[in-house]
Amino acid sequence: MNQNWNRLMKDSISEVLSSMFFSPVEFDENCTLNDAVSFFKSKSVVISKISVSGDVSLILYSAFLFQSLEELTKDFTGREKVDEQDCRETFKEMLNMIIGSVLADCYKGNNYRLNIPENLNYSTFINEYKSTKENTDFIKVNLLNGEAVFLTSWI
Amino acid sequence: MSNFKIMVVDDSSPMREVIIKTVKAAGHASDVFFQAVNGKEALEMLQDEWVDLLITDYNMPDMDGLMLISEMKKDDVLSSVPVLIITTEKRDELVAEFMSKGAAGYLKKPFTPEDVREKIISILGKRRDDESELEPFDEGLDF
Repeated sequence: MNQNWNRLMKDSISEVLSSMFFSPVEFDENCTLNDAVSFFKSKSVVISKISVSGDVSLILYSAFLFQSLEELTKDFTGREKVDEQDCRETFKEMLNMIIGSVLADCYKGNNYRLNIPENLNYSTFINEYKSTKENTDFIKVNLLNGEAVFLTSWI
Repeated sequence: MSNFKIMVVDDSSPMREVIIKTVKAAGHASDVFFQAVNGKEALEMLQDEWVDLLITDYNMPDMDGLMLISEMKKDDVLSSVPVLIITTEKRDELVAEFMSKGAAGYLKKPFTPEDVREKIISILGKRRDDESELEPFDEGLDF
C-alpha cells in the first residue's frame, strides 16, 4: 500500500466532500482489499473511473451506493430532485476534483494527463481490475447515509 | 448598473449549475447566463451572442478550455472577452500555460463562493474601471 498516496487521497476526499458536497466523512480503517473489491458488486452501487496517463499511469475506480450519491448530488446542486444522469455526472466531477488535487501534490513537475471520467458497470470494472490487481491502493469511506470505496490501480 | 452576460462552459451539467449558483451568490444574481457543454459549442454560441465574461472548465471532450481560449484570441471581437478557467488542475506549468494563452484568471476546484467572488471582482472590476474612464469625455458634449 502506498501510504503517502492514501494519505493524500484521504485529505482530498475529505476536502472535496466537505467543501462541495457538505458531507462529513470517516474512513474505515478495518476494511480489507477483498472487502473493498466486493463492495463494487453490491446491489444499488454506481461505479465510475478516471484514468491518468503519461509519467504517472493509474486508474482511480470508485463505487458509491446510489442512495448516497443521490443525496450528495442534491447537496451539490442545491436541488430537491435529481435524476440518475445528474448523479452520474456529479460522480464523475467528484472523481475529477479528488484526483486532480492529489496528483498535483504527489507528482509536481511530472508530465501527465487527466483523462475524462467514465461510468462503467461491474463486469467491465472487474475485468479491468483483474489485470492490475497486484498493485492496488484502496480507501473505504463512511458517509452520513451510506458508504463508498476508492480504489487506485497502478499500471 | 447594467447586467452582465456570462457564459459557463463545462461538460458536466451539475457543475455548470453549481458555477452559476455560486456566481449568483457572489453578487451576480440578476446577470444573464449562457451554458455550453464544450469549447466547440461555446464558439458557435459566441457567433451570435456577446458575453462580458466566459467561465470555462479545462478538461472537456471535443475542445478543451485551453483550445477555446486560443481560438477566441484569434478572433478580433472574441479576443477581448475575459476568460476565467475553473479546473481541478493546479500544476504550475499548466497554470502558466493558461495565463500565457490569455486567460484573465484561474480558479481551482473545489472552490468556495468567496473564491469565485474575488476572482470575478478582479476581472469584471477591471472592466468597470475601463468603462468609467470614458465617462469624463462624454460629459459636457452637446450635439
